Amino acid sequence: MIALIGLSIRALAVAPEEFATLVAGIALLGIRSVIATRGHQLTRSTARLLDAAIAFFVVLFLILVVIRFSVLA
Amino acid sequence: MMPGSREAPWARRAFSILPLLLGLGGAVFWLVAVHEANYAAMNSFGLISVMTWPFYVAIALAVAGFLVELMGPIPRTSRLVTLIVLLIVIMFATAPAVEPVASLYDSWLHAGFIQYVIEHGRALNHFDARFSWPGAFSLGAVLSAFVGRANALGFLRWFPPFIELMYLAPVIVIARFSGVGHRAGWLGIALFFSCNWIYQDYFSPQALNYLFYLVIVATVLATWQPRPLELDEPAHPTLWHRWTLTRRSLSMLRLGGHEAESTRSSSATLVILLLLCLVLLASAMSHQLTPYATILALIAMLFGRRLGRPELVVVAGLFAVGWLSLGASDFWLGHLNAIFGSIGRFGGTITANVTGRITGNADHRLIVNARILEVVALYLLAFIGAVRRRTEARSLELLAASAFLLLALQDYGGEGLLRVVLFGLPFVTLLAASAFLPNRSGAIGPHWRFRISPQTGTVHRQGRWVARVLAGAVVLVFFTVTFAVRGGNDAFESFTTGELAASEYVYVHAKVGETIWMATPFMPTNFRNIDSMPVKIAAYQTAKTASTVDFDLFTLLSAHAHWIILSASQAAWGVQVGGYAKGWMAPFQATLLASGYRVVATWPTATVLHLGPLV
Repeated sequence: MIALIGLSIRALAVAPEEFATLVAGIALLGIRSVIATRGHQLTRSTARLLDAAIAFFVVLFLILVVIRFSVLA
Repeated sequence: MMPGSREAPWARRAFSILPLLLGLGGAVFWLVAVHEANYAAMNSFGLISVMTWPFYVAIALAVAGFLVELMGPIPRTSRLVTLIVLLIVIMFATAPAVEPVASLYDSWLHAGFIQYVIEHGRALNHFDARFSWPGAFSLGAVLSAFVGRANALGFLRWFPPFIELMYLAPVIVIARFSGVGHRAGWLGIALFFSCNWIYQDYFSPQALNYLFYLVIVATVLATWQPRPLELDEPAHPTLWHRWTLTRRSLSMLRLGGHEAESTRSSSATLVILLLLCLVLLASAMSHQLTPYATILALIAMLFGRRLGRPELVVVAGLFAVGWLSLGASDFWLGHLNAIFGSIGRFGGTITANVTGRITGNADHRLIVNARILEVVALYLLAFIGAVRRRTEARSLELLAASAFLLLALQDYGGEGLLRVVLFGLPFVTLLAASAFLPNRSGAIGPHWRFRISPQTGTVHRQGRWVARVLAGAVVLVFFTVTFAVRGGNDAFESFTTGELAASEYVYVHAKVGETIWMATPFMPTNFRNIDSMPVKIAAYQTAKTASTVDFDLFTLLSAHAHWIILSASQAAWGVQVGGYAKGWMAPFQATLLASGYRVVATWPTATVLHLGPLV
């Protein structure tokens, strides 16, 4: 856990936008998993909103990665 | 012998303990074989060349014991596990028992990485690509400190049998929940350990991450089961009908994980998901390739109705790409082409992975060809198993095929195909077992089946016994061939105590700033001081297999190497793989001596040279 915190701090310092979108995407995926596994019923619009938010953060993260690769490589 | 048959009770008891007696006999003969093996007599065929007849008796008895138990009226799990453990010991513990020190240069190098982490508390940047995924090395450092060692050298020698025994538990779970029958599952497990010649179980991040991979697949298969399919399968399904069924696998229902259901409570499923995420995170930080193989396996299980939570695939992808971008930037800065350069280049990757490996002298090429033939034979059997079996879901076939997509992503320095075989092995071996013992139940029918009329029941029973005897013969042949080809490189990949002593001598006497070289790869070295005294390899200063004796000599002389270690393993590599002339080492050493070097220490299998007098 200590190592994970240390790594997170380093990642936050190296690429804060990337790290923030990564954490947001994983957090939303976690929420989706909990809701689906627990069997809670979301309204269709809420479920779509959640999926759209996940897709937004995942795609944004990948775009930021590609930008970082193309700038630094 | 069937239950209720009229044999005397003593005969039934004798038959009952026969598998254990055979196993015990196998263990005794193995101990004798290991005791008799003369490592010094090893020739270019490697480990098999020093094994005497008791070793083959041990293999025959152990395989026979396993098969008698497996094909008996009621196979008992405890006995099957015991006999599989014996097979694992024979296959993977023989080399450490016979060879004087741990084999493979890379395992010693990994110990050097771990020692750096122990001493500095962090990875060494810009040194080696592997250090950009330091999870396994950090774990090695923690374990070394935990057992009170100053380094990880104590772990190297017996690591292969240890990690193979660790693989047994997830492989049993995979077999149990894969949808194949009970006997086919155990036969598949035996084939898994009988066909693993790939030698990625040495002390390495790959060995640890393969355990992660197996645990993840086993957990998913044990947690989610496919919902029953309602198929209106005609008596003789056409290709069009099968294509229609296949297209159903691309439905949103399936991609959303709705065609698989968890066998656990919601709380237990959430805990399992959390644990899987932790293992995925550990894997993303500790190996370059395994996280992507895991993602492909998760996708295969999603398509195969064996994964109910598609989020897991996305999380695995985010961890892998996230670590590559944020944690492994030391590696990819300036080397982006090494990561993405081979994407989609199937032709070049196959060339690098197959034809590029068939090099060296005739003995070495024979071993490499035997490896390729064994893989082809195994995949052929798996294909027969896939078309013969009846099943609820085609997840095994998808898992076996998914590993091939790795080749489209990375040639992995010419080792991509090896990893494809490695990652597909648990599933391919279960399918190969289904060639002999196909499952008879399930919504999805076989593509091909024996049609036997009720009048030919006797023939059918005979056919079943023929299949069982054939299965036994296949395990025996695969086991023996695998043992031979697995240790086929040991003439240069295993080391003597003299070679280790030569390395130790140089580390004791070399001063910081002095350069240490060896002519060709393969020595037990680089296990300490990797930052201040890295040992370099002359033959690796050009493309692999492009080096020559003259090139190595030129490299050493132009580098003004302070120390040069020459050894029997290096000489064997030059002859077997490098294409150097037999006996090349003697004139090579004479040229170095004529160029100002002096022999400062010597052992029967190693010589240490120093530039100028030793002060």
